[in-house]
Amino acid sequence: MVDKQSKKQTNKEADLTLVRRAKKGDYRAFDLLVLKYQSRIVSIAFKFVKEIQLAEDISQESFIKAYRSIDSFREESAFYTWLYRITANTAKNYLVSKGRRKESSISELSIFENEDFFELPTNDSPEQILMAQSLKDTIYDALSGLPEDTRTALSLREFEGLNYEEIAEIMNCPVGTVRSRIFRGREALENLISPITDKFKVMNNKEIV
Amino acid sequence: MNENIKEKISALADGELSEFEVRRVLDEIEKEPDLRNYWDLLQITRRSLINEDLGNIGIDISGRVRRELSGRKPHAVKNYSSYPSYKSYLAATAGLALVFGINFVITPSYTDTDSFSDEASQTIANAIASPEALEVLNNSVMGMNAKLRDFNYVSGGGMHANYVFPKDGKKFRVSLSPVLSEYKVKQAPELRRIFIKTDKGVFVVSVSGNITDEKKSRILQNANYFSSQIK
Repeated sequence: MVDKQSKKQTNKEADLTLVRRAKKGDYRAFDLLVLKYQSRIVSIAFKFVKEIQLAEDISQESFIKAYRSIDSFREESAFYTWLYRITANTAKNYLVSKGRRKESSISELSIFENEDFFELPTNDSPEQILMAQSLKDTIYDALSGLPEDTRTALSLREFEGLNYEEIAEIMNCPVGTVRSRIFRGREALENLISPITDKFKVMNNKEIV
Repeated sequence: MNENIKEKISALADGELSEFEVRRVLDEIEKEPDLRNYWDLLQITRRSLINEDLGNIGIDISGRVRRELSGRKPHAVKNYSSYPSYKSYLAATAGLALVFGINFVITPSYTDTDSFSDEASQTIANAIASPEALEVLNNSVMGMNAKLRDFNYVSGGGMHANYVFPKDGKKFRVSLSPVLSEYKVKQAPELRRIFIKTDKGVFVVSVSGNITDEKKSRILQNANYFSSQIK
């Protein structure tokens, strides 16, 4: 069993390739980071301001600040942690500028900074919360139905946080095979959840291309 | 969608691609919007798998972030006169719709003497005069900490902007020009360019100056990327 620190390290490294491209002025790389983290960032902002529109505005501003100052990100922490701090500061500044009483204490939020994943506040309706649970149930059912090699590779990656080389060593196969198995596993899961995520997007007026 | 590219996107999500491969994948995503959606779906799948909270997963602010960073405001001012000053354009930077819809970029196949009809050339010249077309220049240097020195329209319907990197004082020029009938592109050794085909015709974005080839490529990629996003 890989410790949590190893898993965090792997997640951190996964973002660095995109961060480094963004540092070279490649907005396309930053765009993928926005897609990856936007819902989490909106949830963090929502924790402060308790209004979804405001939370979206603060999140937008936070991403803009992050892109404009990305050269100052020294890669000592995870990109998400850095982004989290920018969002928290932006939200705090907003509340101060509006003379609002803090809706949530900063210490309450700061405990999350050392965690990779945590339950975030949302503006979701009961129906959306049920759909999210349904999504997870679907994923777990599908995971158990995957071929053993595929399931093992995917599990070692997602649950244990191992990189491809480590997985290849454990499974005694080439790295390319690991990459292919992980892709096939994800592909099978995505085909199942795609109709559910489309419903989420419709509920939030997100454009489906 | 191409399965090979999707597999690479999956590997990108795990940080398992080389820098060269990352660039190739970003190029592919830029050309094929469905691949961007695939990346989005991939993130949701991964979050579901590790039982992470899925709150607000339908929200999308990426377009707003992109527009703001490229200098446009979400609610457009659509009325404008032709040939506005660049400074007034910068103050107004608005407009979501391009006068012309940019379809794709042609890089290597054009020769210096490719020609187009006069009518098409006039149409593209008019399109270049629009504030939206100016955004192509403005966006091309986004995120590069370059400072605009001056900006000019030139005969034949083109325009160019001169920039400097304050950090090292290096200067460069980004130009936007119609491809005119019997047009001959000056082939200075330091000049790099792309041809962008639109429904109004073809124009050229070029970069010259004493900056690295990588920066020139970045500028041209930016010009194309932001153009293709706003149709």
